[in-house]
Amino acid sequence: MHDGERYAVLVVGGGPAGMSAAMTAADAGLRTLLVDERPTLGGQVFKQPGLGFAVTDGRPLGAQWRYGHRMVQRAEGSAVMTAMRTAVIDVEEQRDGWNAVLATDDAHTRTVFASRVILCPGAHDRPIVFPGWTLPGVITAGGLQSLVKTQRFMPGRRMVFAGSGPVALAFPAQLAEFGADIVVALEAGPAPNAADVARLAGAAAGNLDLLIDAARYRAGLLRHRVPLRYRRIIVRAEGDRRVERVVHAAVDADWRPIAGTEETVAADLLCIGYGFAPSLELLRLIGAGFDDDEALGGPTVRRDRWCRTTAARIYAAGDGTGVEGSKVAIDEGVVAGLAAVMDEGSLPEEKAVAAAAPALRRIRRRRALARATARMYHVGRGIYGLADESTVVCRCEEVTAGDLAHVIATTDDISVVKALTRAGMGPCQGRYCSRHISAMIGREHDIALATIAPSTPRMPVRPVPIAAIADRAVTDPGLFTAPSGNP
Amino acid sequence: MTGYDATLPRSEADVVIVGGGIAGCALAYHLAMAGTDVLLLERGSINREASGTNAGSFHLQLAIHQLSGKGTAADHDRLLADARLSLEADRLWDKLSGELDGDLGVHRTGGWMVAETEDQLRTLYEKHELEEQAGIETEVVTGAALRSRAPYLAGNLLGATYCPAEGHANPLVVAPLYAKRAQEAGATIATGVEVTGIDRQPDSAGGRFVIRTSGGDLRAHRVVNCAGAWSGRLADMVGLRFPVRSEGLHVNVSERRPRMFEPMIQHIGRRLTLKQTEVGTFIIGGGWPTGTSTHRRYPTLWSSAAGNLAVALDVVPTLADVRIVRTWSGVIVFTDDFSPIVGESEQVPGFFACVASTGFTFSPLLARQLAERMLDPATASGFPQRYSLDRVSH
Amino acid sequence: MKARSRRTPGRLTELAGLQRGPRIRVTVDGREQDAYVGESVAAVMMADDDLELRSTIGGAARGVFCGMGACFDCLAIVDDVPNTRTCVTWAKDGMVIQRQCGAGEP
Repeated sequence: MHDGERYAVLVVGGGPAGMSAAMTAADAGLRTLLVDERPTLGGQVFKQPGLGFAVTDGRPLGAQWRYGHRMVQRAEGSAVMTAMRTAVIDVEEQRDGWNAVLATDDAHTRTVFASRVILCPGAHDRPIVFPGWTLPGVITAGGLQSLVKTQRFMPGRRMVFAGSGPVALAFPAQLAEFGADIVVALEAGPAPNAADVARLAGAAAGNLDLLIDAARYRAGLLRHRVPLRYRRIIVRAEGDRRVERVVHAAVDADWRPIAGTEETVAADLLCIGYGFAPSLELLRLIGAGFDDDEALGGPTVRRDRWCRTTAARIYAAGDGTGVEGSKVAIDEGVVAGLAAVMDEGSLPEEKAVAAAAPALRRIRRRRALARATARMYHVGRGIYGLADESTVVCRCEEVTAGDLAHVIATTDDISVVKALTRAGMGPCQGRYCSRHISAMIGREHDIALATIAPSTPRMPVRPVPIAAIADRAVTDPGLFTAPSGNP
Repeated sequence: MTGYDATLPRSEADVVIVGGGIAGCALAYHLAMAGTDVLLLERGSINREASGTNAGSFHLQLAIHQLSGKGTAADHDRLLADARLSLEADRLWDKLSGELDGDLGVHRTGGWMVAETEDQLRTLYEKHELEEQAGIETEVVTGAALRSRAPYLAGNLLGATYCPAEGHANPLVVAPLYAKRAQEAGATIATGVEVTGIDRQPDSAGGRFVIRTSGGDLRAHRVVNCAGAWSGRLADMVGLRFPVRSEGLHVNVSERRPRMFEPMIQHIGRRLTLKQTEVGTFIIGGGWPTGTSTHRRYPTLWSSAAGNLAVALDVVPTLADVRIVRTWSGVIVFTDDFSPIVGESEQVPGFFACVASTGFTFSPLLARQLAERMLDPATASGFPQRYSLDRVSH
Repeated sequence: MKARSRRTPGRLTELAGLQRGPRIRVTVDGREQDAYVGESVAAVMMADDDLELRSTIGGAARGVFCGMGACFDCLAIVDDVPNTRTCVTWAKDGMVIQRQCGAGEP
């Protein structure tokens, strides 16, 4: 049923994990296709300037951009075939591989076959529901980063940054370099104490670059006189059809706002960066098994040490498998790529083991730091308790927390909640509301968030025009007729 | 709650209904309202299968599969009876929101059934004639009249029948509301309980049936099979053979768009039902197949989306740039002779059934008729012989 | 409280190592304006500090939220097609962009 295109390996996602996986497979001589929705390789983390922008001087773009740019150039010069502005919107298992339906912009979809698929979908900002989060002027860190880094565009005049984790330091510092007027940066976690720093340093053996980054960001904030306030969280955004004021408050250890500590500041831009959550649509659609780790962004796909998921011939690497950063992603891409090459029979096992060893060693070391950081910046459960009754939870279908609470009082099944409220039925397919709804169900019925089954994933993973799907070559299965002969 | 992990709330009941779809919930409602002791068993959640996954259309016009055997006098009589049943079901839907005191999302949008070929157009005329005899209001519209009344339809369509009474309800709320009202009237509903076997025993004080379930054993005087696509398996437990099979059900849902047209649109010769809902989304189906999988519930088939949408585009070309945001799939039950299976078995007294093709349209009516029959066998009219539970011999 | 700042919102003047693409002309809500190749439709629409890109069926204002094509909040009518994600649609010369209301009316 595919349109004639056959690949040994299909890699989905052109970020660090995807590029390294694709290059690993292609370098081993396998016919490899890499697809990504963006116009350029590099993914969210190595954001490349928009096609049309020209780089006149690489130095101000930062070390990460330069590193990413070199990697993009290597990928473009490799034997990897690429399809940009292309989304995988459906996958179907075949006897000896997978069919994948590709949608490029609004052109007609095409179906390719691949013996093995490496999913590197990356992550998106962890959605946090609070009153006013739907107002224009509230933007995720990733979204603002795209505008600033790839288009040199900064909406609004005065900004509040609210978030947690290493990004809470890094991102405002970067924005300040571009002249952003940051009224205050809020970190929900505590200021790092000496013991934490010592633990980090211990875990950081061989990760000094990461610690140096953190120190540099801190210095950047100081230089731009951005007040950084620890243990404070966004409470709500207010304004008439756009953000005009931002209210924040002190939090307890579980990130619950403490009454009487609210402060209001004037701002017209509120940037949200409470860490990342893996993008799971395709992993869910293929039916892979999952675990749940809030520190890694919530549900995480189950894998063996070769990045094989529980679904046949499907591998997963990078932040889409649990958010651990670009360096782990690159090494995971190498491991997944080698695994696919080995499983295709193109590399003997002992050679694959030897080739993967350095990457696996680095992953172990970096994971130690990631875990230490995660302990420092653990996500408090209060993050799912900021909405009030009238807060819209499902942005697409405009379903409020009050509407949801009404139904959740009678059921613990998220599919029933979806059916009766329409929450999650819109074009985003619940990406931005389902975690919050699960948390509401967990609270109401006293169930651990990790054990609440999400609703069934559905293709197409991205909305696609009817004309791009319709295919007259598919034969009508015919009319419903009774089987021949007397029943 | 999706596992079969629940325990039974009670160990006996007068009537045990198996299946928490629209038929089972409606029957539970009518019996409980009359004071009958009812326990409904559902292995998953209420409304989780075809009753909740169908597109909610009222199919009043005769469909091609019903017409396929026409020609003999017996076929003519059957079709006439089917058409009259449609009419009665239709009248019931009119009053249902009021009776259940809730918004079922019932909308009378009217419905087109289109023809692309001369053959199909002939079938439309024959269909129209039958419907007229049965009292269903339809008209055949062709040429310039069709263009002006339905400018959104493709210019190459030869004609279409229009039925003003067709429309839809919201399938997500109907069975749950029946279930709620049934519970308020005293029915017990147990979800997460799967029936694994039914033993018959001599009529004793404890009841004629012992029902083995995942949550324990249960005694009942009467058992009603409302298990839809799984009704064959349940009938088999008491030694009956139902002429049922399941068919895939693939549905595509679009983004919201400003109102393009009101009526439902069907095709007399190809698989298509298409409508724009009150919220502006287009729901496009028509019975395209689903896949099979061991680890996923009714996996959708890309080929079904591609084929189904090609038919939609042939009929309404302006849908071209409307985006599909979601698909879903399920199974629906079909009886081999297209007649419902309703009533009490003669071979197994005390064993009842309420199973119908196009069940969303017909189940509220058939469940009510069955309840009347169960409550008062002497005065309520019986069901036609062709509805019999025993019509297929083992 | 009024937000005050020295900074002008919109296109940054400090380009820090980048150069904008060729200038093009687009129409936003009936008014012709400049845009640059490489800019998203979202950025073009927000260039005059109007961050409201659409109003929902419920009448609420929405703008760019995720900025990566995942949340479907920054929808607009682009060349007559409603519900187009402006954060991942790139400006083209002659493009006609309209803010949308409800399910896609201008």
